[in-house]
Amino acid sequence: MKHGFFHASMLVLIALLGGCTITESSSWVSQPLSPEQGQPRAYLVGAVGPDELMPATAQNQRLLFRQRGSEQGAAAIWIDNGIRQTPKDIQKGRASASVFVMPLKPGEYELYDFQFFSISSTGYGTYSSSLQAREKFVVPMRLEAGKAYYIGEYRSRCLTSSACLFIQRDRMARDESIARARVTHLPDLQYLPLQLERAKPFILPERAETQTQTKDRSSQ
Amino acid sequence: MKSLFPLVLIAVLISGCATSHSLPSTELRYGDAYLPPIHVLTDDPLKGGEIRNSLRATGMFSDVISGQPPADGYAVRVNVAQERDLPPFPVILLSAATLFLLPISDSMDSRLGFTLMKGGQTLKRYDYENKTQRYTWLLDRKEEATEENLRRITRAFAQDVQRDGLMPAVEAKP
Repeated sequence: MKHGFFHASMLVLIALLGGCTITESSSWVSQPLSPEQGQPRAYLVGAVGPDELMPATAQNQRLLFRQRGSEQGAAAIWIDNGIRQTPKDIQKGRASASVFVMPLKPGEYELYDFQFFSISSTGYGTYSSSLQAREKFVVPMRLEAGKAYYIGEYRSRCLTSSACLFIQRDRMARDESIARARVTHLPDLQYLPLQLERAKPFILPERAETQTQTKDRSSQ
Repeated sequence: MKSLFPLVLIAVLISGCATSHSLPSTELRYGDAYLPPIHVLTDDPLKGGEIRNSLRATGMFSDVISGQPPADGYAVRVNVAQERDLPPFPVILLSAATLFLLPISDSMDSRLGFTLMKGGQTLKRYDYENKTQRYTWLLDRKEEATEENLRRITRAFAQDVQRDGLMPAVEAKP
């Protein structure tokens, strides 16, 4: 009887754990950059997650933004570690991505870095690893009040375990409805072309334009 | 156990409040545009990436690139000298014996010289020194003080370059 009770308890626990994935927001904005109720705001919209081809296996992938000249930041986040996950708004095969809608105080911002975090377990222990740009980049953007800017989808690929990048594509038609379902009063989206040649080789537009700038920016 | 609590409290207070910098922090004011891209070379390759990242974080330059500039580009050559001053070794051993609960003084003196050049001609040289004095212990976040030590220098440089008007501003925003 006691043995049967133990098994039942374990089954309930497993069922609870299996069904209880925690869904988190796909964007994070530091408090000083978050507009308060009634204050003017701009929205930054896009999508982030692993690509279908050679997807990055890191369970936590982020694009990092900051206010120009400031330490205050914001992040677009994709997480799927079995317990915590961001909404899988776009799913095709094993690949998924989360649409982010980031309310920000109007002003000047920069896309400057990315992060990949992963935890893996082997027979010998559990290891965590992280990857980000050793030398950051400066991709400027100016956000005006009452406007919503779409900056594309950013899908991660890994050529090797330590050489990962994001492929950027324009999928505004697809992502607008998802973003609007999340924020009903979202202003009309407008595409914001970014100077992504400055983020090479970490972010590559799908139709990459040739640039002759030389850079020495390796990742660690 | 009770006698240990005040010691830990003192350690937290000392290490958290006692960081001082000889160079004051700089409030930067931006125009509508960025200053042109700069190609930054340092005489200490190990510090090069850190210095370029700190210059990027100033938000003043439209891009900060490693390597030689094109013929009409701006170059910044950086001379780096950093000295770290720790207490005598027996004091470090004493701190280690307390599992680093006993704070020890840890100062860093950074001297950076920035030579601004265009087309091989030197436009101006800027020199800065920032001495950071602090206490370090077990639960210390040393990286923040080290970053701030460099951040104050690069922001002072960005402000001085902007003020001198040697580089015309360029529109860099989409």
